Amino acid sequence: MNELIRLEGITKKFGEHLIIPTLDLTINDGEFVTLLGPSGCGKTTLLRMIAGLETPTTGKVILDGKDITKLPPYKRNVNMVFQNYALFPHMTVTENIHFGLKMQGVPNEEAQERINQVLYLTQLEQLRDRYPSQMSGGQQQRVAIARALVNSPKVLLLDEPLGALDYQLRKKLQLELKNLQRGLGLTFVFVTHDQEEALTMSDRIVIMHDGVIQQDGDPNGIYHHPKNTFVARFIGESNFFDIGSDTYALRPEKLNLCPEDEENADHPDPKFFGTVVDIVFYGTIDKVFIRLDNTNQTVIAYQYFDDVHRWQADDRVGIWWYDRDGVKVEKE
Amino acid sequence: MKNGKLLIAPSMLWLGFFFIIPMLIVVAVSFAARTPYGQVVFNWNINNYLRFLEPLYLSIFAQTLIVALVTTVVTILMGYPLAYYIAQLPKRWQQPGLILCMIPFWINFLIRSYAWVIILRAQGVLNTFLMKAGFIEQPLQLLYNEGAVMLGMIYSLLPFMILPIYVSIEQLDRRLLEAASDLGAAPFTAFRKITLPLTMFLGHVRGTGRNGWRQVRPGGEPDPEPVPLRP
Amino acid sequence: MQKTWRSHLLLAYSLAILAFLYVPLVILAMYSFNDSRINAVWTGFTFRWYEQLFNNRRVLEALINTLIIGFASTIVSTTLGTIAAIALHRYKYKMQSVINGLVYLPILIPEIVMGLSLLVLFSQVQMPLGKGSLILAHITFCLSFVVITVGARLDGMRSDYEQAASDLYATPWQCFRYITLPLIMPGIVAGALIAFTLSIDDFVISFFVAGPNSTTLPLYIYAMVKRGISPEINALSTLMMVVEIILVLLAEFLQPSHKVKAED
Repeated sequence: MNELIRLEGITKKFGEHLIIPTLDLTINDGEFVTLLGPSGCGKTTLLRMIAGLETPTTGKVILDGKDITKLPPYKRNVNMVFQNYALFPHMTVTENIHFGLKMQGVPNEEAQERINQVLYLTQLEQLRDRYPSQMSGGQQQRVAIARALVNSPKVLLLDEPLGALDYQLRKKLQLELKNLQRGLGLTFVFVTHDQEEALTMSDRIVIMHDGVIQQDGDPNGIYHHPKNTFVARFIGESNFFDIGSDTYALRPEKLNLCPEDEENADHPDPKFFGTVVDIVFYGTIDKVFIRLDNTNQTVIAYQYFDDVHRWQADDRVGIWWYDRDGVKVEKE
Repeated sequence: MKNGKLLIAPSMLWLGFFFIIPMLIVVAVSFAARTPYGQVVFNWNINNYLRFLEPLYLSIFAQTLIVALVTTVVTILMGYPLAYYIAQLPKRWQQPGLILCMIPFWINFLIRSYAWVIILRAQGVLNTFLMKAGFIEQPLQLLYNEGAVMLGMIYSLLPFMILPIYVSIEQLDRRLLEAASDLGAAPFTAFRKITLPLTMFLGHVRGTGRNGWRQVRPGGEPDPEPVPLRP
Repeated sequence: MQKTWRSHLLLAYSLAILAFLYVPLVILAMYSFNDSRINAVWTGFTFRWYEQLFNNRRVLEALINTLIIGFASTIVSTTLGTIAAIALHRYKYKMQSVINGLVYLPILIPEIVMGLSLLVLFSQVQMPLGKGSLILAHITFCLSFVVITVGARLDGMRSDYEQAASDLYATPWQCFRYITLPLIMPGIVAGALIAFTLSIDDFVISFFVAGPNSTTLPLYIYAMVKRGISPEINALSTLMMVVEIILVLLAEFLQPSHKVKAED
């Protein structure tokens, strides 16, 4: 895969406040890369640097082999879908989409053709003469994407584009976006704080915290092999066990429970013992909360609807797992 | 746009030349003296300020304070319930309510003053009505007294008491604050229109009366001195 | 029960206060149609005073002066004020508080002080008093109102529109021309209407800096009132009231909150 964007030794200070200590990142052509992290982790700042809406304090932004660090946004062939869409309220859908082409001086005939194409692609043909205020959130979101896509950018930057939508619509648009990206073979850089969204859509996830990349990899690897406690905690649910000087992360579904006094079991010996404190119904599973002996730590295991043994509060349990499931993680 | 910051320059230069410099000249002149021919001589003295302490000016000052005080109390008594009423209306009626209170302010104060002259003068609406109804036989002297002055002040200032009270009642509600700022620079205007007439009134009592209230002032006030600097 | 009783009383009181505000103005307007010159007895409906007004050469001169001064000072103050508001919105200045002070001070300062000081200035620089001096004075006191009105509109505008435009290949000038300007236009028009209203309404400052052949309508009304009560004053006042109310309502409806919903 060809390298498309390279961020080299980026730092960013707002006044005295250090947002990004120092950061390197490469994004390849045709990738769907998600920058994931809690709010304030610097992911949006990074995205805006690629767009040219922020300048790094030090470091370089390289697009397609060219240093664009100092280039203003209107001279960069990248386009952005803004968090609240930022559709121009005084323009219709068509005028909004036409805006970028008009500014670049694209001849009218060609512009019309390209506009029609993206209108078709985003299923907005019926709404072409509406004003943003006359459309639903999901429709506005499509216009924002069409308005960016029509310019055939080298990269499409998306800043929490689904954040303002309700759950059902978000699920639907996640799939649409992913299909659009695959169909066009475009590079997407997507910013979100929603880990589920990141796992569903991305080819690659970059997890950030306090301006530092915590882990960079494909969704599968990130989920199953978190590098440190932050990643393990941020993506999905994790339990942490200290064994010697090492810390191991275990997903709840990897934890197995057995009665404390079980003998001659055909599984590895329990590593920890504890008391069930609560059981909470979650549809297909029940979450079993267990307080470990000798610590105040509570861990979570799953009990499936077809499990023969049903746990009760105050039951004494042993906790065991296969060694291959325990992931050794760095402490934060 | 590196030079974009300079966009502020034209306005600042304008205000500097037509606002700040004139003010500074006025301050400078206040420390000057006047020759018998009306020329200004800059011999730096505070005589103009010392004249404030003359009994005539002191009594005028006291009179002004009393009128200001009465006006304030009465406008609060009149304005507060109305402001409160507007504040507890459904949200979409609040803005029209406020506009209704503010419209009289936008009408020229000469016209507003003149309206009261029509009502209060000897052959005015009120006297005519009272005589026709048989309550009185001779027209009452309603104009040209302290009461008329206060009535005029209250009438002019009432709208500007209503708005700040309304804003403070609704201060906790951010959305309503927005509605208030939506009325243009309303709080500032209010301040201006409260401060202004009081200070103007001071000037007026001194005999430089240059506004419509001249009509409701007692007659026989000395005519204004000519402004010495007028060429 | 007590609660409704109280709220009825409050309503009655509020209506009484509103009546206090409006009845004098209504009476003023009513008597501009009264057929009697001298007293307050209603003797019949007439347009006579309006006819006399429109045939009065001096009234028409004052009207023309007022309009010339109003338009000239509106155009200049709106242009300067809009540019200043944009600069203040976009940039942070080291002397921000000084600049803000300079913008707000003319609104806070008593008109009589501003009128006097402008007169002093014009006499110091030997500028003849007339329409020119009136226009300069009116621009000065209108400027701040425009800066504040346009500034409110700019502050109410989301900043990401300009960023989006810039992302869509618009140069800073194009961004201003196609995005910022159309979006703040209602604010600019409102500012211009306020400036125009203030200008045609101004008496105090105009009184100081007016010269021969530059009588404006408020100055003319003052001169008429000094000569005595006449229904023509009522007629002229009524016309001015109507124009002022229309201008203010127009400016009001152009202010941000009426459009906020449509834009979000």
